[in-house]
Amino acid sequence: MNSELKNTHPDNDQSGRTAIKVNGLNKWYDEFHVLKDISLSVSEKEIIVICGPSGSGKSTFIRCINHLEPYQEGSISIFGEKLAKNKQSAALIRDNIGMLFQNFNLFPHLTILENCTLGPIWLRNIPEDQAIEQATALLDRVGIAKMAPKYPGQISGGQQQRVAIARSLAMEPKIMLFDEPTSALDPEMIKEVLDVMIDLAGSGMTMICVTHEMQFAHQVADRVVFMAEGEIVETGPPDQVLKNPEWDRTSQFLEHVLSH
Amino acid sequence: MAKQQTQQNELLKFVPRPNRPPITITYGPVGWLKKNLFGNIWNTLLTVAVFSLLFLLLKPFLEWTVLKAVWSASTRRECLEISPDGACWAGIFPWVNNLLYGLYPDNLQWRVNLGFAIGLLWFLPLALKKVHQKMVIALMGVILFPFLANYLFLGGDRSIFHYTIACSAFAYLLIVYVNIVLMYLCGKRLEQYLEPFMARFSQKNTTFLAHVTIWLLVTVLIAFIFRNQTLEHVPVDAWGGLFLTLIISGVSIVMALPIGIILALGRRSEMVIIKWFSICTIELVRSVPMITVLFMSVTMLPLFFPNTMELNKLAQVLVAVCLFAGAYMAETVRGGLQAIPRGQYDAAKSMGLSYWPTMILIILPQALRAMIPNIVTSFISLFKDTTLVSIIGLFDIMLMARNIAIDKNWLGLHAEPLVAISILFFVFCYTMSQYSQRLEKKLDTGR
Amino acid sequence: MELPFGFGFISSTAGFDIGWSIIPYDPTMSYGRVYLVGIVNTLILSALIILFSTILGFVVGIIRLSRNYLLAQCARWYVEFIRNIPLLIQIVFWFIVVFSTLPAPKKSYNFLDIFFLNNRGFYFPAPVFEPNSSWTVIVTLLACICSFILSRKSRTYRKRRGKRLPILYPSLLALLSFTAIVFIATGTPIHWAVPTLQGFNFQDGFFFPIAFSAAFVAMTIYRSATIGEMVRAGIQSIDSGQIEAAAAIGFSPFKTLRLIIVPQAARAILPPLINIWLTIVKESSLAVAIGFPELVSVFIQTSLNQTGRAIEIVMMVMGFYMCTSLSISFVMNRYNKRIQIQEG
Repeated sequence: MNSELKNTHPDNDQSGRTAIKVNGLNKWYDEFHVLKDISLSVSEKEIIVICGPSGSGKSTFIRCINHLEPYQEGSISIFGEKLAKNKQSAALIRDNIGMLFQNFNLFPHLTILENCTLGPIWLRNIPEDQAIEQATALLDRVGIAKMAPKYPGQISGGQQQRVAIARSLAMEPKIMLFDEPTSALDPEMIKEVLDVMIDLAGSGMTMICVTHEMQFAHQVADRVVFMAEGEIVETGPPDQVLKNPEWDRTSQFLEHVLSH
Repeated sequence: MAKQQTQQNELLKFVPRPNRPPITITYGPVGWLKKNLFGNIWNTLLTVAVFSLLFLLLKPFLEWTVLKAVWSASTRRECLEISPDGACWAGIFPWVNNLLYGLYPDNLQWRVNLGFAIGLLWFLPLALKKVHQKMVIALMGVILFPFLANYLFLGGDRSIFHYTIACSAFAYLLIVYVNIVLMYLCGKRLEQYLEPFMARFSQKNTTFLAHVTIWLLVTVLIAFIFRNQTLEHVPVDAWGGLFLTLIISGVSIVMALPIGIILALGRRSEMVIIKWFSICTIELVRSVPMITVLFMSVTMLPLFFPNTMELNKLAQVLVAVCLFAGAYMAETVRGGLQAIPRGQYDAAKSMGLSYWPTMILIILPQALRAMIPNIVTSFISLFKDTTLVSIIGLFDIMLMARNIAIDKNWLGLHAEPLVAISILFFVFCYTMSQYSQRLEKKLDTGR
Repeated sequence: MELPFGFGFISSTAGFDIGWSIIPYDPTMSYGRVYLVGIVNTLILSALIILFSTILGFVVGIIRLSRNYLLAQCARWYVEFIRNIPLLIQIVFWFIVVFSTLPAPKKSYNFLDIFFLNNRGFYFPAPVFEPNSSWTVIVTLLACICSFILSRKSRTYRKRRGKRLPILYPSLLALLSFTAIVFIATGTPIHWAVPTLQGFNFQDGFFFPIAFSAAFVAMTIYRSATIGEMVRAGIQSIDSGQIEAAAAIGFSPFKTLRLIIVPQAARAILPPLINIWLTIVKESSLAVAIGFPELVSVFIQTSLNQTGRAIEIVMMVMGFYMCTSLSISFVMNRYNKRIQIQEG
């Protein structure tokens, strides 16, 4: 109980500033209540893994955070600034949050390198040469600098997802959202993407990951959030939530996932 | 894992919170209206603007077509006196017969109706569930029905060969329907009754033999019954209106398929001469306007025939339209053939089938089934394109409609006939295109 | 009846008049000239249809995807109605019911005293070039090239340094004013000839006869429906994830449209669009039905009737259409191959 109290007030956490604060978020698809009173605050440099059965609203939740989905009630603030539907909020999101998708969503009409330089050139007004230099360094960091002149259609899924990571990093975000980044990949490719994500976690990035990779959660997560039927069931350090869950729903889910 | 769970004595029971309706309504008719018409101030303004524009446009149209229209009058002048700014539909009615049949004599029009009724009856069984060998029925329809229809439409002294085939076509259709009735009543087909009898003569193919025997018998019977009936000759020049439009589009779509298949297979052929002949034909015809193909046929075909032979314009037009439709169909067929996975060819080859059996038994049936929506689409465009024959002076529905304006009673009545046939075309083409879209969806999900 | 095959007739005098022609023509000219007049008329008609139907088609396609249900449905029914009624009926309808019933020249519809619409055609001002106008033309061309180069330069500068170059508009202004000075210095040698009513008809200016106008309007509308449908399919073929990814990087809706949607939609739309353009060139021959003097009308109808040389004339006409089609599809195939390499 004590630890839960601590986790719901991460302002007191050693990392200091609150990166994201979600308060009483409610969302409906027509009459269907997808997110029910979600509240969560994430401090800087914290790594959160959200898990839960499919249809529990976890993807919807992180898509709400950078306004890819509209929500009806509640508020989200980033570094203390409340988001609304206006230009300042859009800039706030753009400057602070990067996102990764299940289907990579690389731009097929641009080369790998152009995918990574498009944002810096057009949004940050960075000179092209410098943008290329940065992008090459990033591609090198995710281990695919050789692929730079190729088109997304010509490389494998794992490589595409790593390009997507480099593309997000090129915008120098402080927070990264991962929407099931490995679920469309073959087992052997999952590892190469997870390695990059672990590396990223070590570098002090604030991360929220929706994933089914429990091993990854154990290894890097500061906190695990378990969601079911549109609500947060329990929150806590991975050892607590994944090994000693307090709720029956969590333990059912874990049994199911771990038996595979 | 199990160990840890035993340590934890009691798990808290998770009960999901009940669904709560949103404060702002985003669902149901109100939500729909909000989302689609009055989402924000701009959307609302747009909706109002579009609505008023629609009202401004549709109101005069509605007034002209319905509210102020004249439905009965004997001359255009009378129409204008009754209501100067309404449509004069009265002028269409005396011409309806001509719009449908052209100059086909009134008392013989039953032959046209009968022909089309037989055509419909022929393809109706294809929609029934219990009917066997639909492909055979359709194929027979494509081969035999034109002879029967031509015999009915043209009349006059036809050769004995033509007469026999027309009778056999009629006989075939009769047998198909007797079979259908028997299928639904007793679950047995006509030839199955005769099978034991046929088994005395031959061991193999008794069903087929029985079928042919019955068919021959009925043909002879029908030929005997109608032996003294002669149909009055109606020259092709008198054919016109919707009747002619349907004949041209029907014949050309039916002929386009075999032409298209042959050209498409030719294009994939390994024999250089055949390959290049096919490619040239397809590319040449596809790269020129249809009207030039029509003109070519009308001006150049007579040069290749002896002067004594009289070619009628309809035949020339049919040659042109079939060629044109065939070349376009070839590309449709090619697309269909390309969609067949290589595995199918390999499988057929591994069974020891050679080229033609592979094509006819394995590849073409699959390709044709996948092509049906495209075929319907090309039929629609062909149906619309047949109006072009009016340019070279064939009295199709379009030229008939334009002729109303030179009738002395309805002098200058241009708009109404054009609007009337436009509606006719729209209804026909729209239904067909919806049908083809439905078919496409069905085929997509069927895979 | 039996004429020997040969193209000698091309140089003989045609002897008939052609109602409307851009290039100079009179009845004393040869059949070769008639062929040329037909080709030019066909090309002008189709070029205008291509231009306007493409613009209108894009508008229709985008409206079709509007979030406003009413607007989207309007566009849908526009498309359904237009494309399910034969083009020939639409052409004849516009010609007989709309354009032929316009008032006589004396009572023309008058727009701003420069454009006139009546039952003879659509009259509009035409530029008149006097002898020393060539200087202005040359300077204008140079200015265009210069501003094009400058815009390229500023674009590369922007990419290199990441800053906008503020010289584009000033330089454009300078070039324009220089052109204006040359224009005035040479004694304003170009002016507009505005059509004016003299007697029963308009003099000066330029005009499109009603057959041209009817064919243009009907075919533009007809093809705008097809192009609209194609544009819609092209835009819808873009995965919604692309837009989400662009939003996640931080592109505004406008930049997403410019950098992500348009380039991708263009790839999906361009090949079928060019096919439709080809169809438009072929289809423009339908204007023969309302007597517009395009290639089929002046050559296959009039010239063939006069000379009786069916094979040669039909061959020449088909040859023109074939050359146009084959050259364009050659270019298209090259383009498609290039795209295929990228997609791997």
